[in-house]
Amino acid sequence: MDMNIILYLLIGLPILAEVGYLFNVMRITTILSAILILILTVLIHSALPIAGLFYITNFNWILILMVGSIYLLSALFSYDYLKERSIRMDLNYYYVFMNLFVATMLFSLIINNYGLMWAGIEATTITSALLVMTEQTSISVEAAWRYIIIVSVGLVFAFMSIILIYYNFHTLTVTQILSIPNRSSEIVTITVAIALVGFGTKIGIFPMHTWLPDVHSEAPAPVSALFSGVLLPVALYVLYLIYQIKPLDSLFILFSLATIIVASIFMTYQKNYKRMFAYSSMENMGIALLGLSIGGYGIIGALAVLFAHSFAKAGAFYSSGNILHSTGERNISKVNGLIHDMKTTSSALLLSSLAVTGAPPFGVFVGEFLIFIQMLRLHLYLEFAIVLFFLMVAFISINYNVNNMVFGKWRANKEAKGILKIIPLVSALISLLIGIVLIVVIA
Amino acid sequence: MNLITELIYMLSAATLLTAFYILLQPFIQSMIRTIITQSVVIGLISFAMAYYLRNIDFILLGLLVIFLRGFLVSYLLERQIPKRKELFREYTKGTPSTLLTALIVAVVGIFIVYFYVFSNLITDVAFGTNNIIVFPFVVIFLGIFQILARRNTLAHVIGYVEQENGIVLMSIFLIPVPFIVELTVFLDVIALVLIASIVARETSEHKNLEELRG
Repeated sequence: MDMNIILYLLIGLPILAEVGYLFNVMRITTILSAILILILTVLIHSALPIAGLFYITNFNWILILMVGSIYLLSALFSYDYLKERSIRMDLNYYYVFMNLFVATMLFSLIINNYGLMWAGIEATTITSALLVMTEQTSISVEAAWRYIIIVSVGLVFAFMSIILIYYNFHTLTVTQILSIPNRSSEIVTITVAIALVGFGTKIGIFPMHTWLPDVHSEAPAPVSALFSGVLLPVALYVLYLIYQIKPLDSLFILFSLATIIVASIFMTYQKNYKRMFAYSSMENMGIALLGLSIGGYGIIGALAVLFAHSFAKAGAFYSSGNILHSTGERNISKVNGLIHDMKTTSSALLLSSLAVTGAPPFGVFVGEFLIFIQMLRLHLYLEFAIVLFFLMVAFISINYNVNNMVFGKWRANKEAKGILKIIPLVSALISLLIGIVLIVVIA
Repeated sequence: MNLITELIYMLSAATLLTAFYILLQPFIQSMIRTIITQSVVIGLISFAMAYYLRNIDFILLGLLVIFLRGFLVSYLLERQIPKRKELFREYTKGTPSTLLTALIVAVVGIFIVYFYVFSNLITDVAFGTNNIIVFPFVVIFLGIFQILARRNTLAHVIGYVEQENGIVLMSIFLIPVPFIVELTVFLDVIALVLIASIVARETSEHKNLEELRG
């Protein structure tokens, strides 16, 4: 089959899945579409790199794989979870928006045009905003509103950078621009800096991150997993493609360090566990941006962080969702003794927390290790010390809180049923598996 | 300066006036009417550019701005205003201080963005001299200021549309992006306004919530 047709299908499958709305089988068509996307993703690997209307390399292929996987996990988790939460929103609508959300992310990942990538990223805001307010509480509505407004303002700046790219190169095709030999000029420097501010808003880079903890903490668990696990990396990929036009490494390193520092400090006094995990996503995006900015092993490290983090964080949010449903509490200090009655969920939470904070041998650890090696090779000793210190702060904050939730004094909790308790554990174990495979490959 | 150049400069100045008017206006319906005016003015600038550069693409762009941004977006917004539309307002106070701050935002915006950053970098513009790009930058800054200064949902959306108008103006003066990209951006903005109006139905004013702090 022609490769372009396969790629059209890749974007089109989640949209085709909307047919399920007519027959009230959205759940089944969504799961089918996710499985088919994963199959197509595996099929296209042999044809890489692809450069034409679409642009796929090994780098974004892994991101496509991540999107497909978390899409499948969230589709499986959503139905039972939202049924249990007895939400007011029609579940068919929920799946309609989830499919559109995934389609826009896939479009942004594979299209070979900066302008259309921007349009794709803006479209992710449109398609995901209503998912955030699925539970329709006043707080979730306010969080959705902040998300729409803050991210849209940021993306206005991102579009300014797109206009400047076109002004400078008279094309927006990624492969054409990246093949121009002398791309450096002052206007390109300004362009990349504006893109950092613009797309950085969507990624959650400090100081444009303010929407991120609100949305991650108020969205339903499967939506938080999609946001944290794949939406942020997709926006990071677009920023990375602009960064490649002219690598402003010093500026990007500065912003990534600031993000890691601020996220780690904020994590220390969080009372809401979902919010704490949101800051952890911000910290991991900071690490990934740092890796991409320093190049070399840093790029492989960043990719490993993103890949492993997507599953680990999905696991953390799924188990957080189960805990929220069982206890009705978002406050860390009011949740304890989970291990007694919620063995599977609390194990998943514990494993996910260790994974997202970079404990060995999880995949995030391997990625961070590679980034550290590259930092030392570039003699970035001060930056290395800062990152190491604040990663330790984040590690202690999250694991201390999670330990209190899991092992604290006994209190009656109700374990989630069936698939709801299995999926968080599977997600966390995939992150562990990624780490082990990476260690074996590197060794 | 010939007639067409003068006309484009005058229309550009008119976009700034509309931006200031929106900022000081407490009545939502009046804000929406002004954003229609601003979009129509930008459409007219695009038509003037089409004549100036003998380029038909600008006519298409102008039509898009007037019909999609001006009328369709405004229609979607106006539908969200409750009954007795002409009386629906946001209770604001300190109009002189808002105006003063907006002027500071505009002046600082011009100085930083134009004189220190862009004056030497952008030399080749589609129209006139490179100082023309001051206008879109100020419209964008005032759009952001509108979002910061207001608490009403619809006022926020209007601030966002104003920013997008500034971006279109910037694109007209610098280099219009390919039509397919431009069209996608227009559709994105409409969809965003549509979604925003759904959210606006749930909440009309925004406050600081304890749960979303820190």
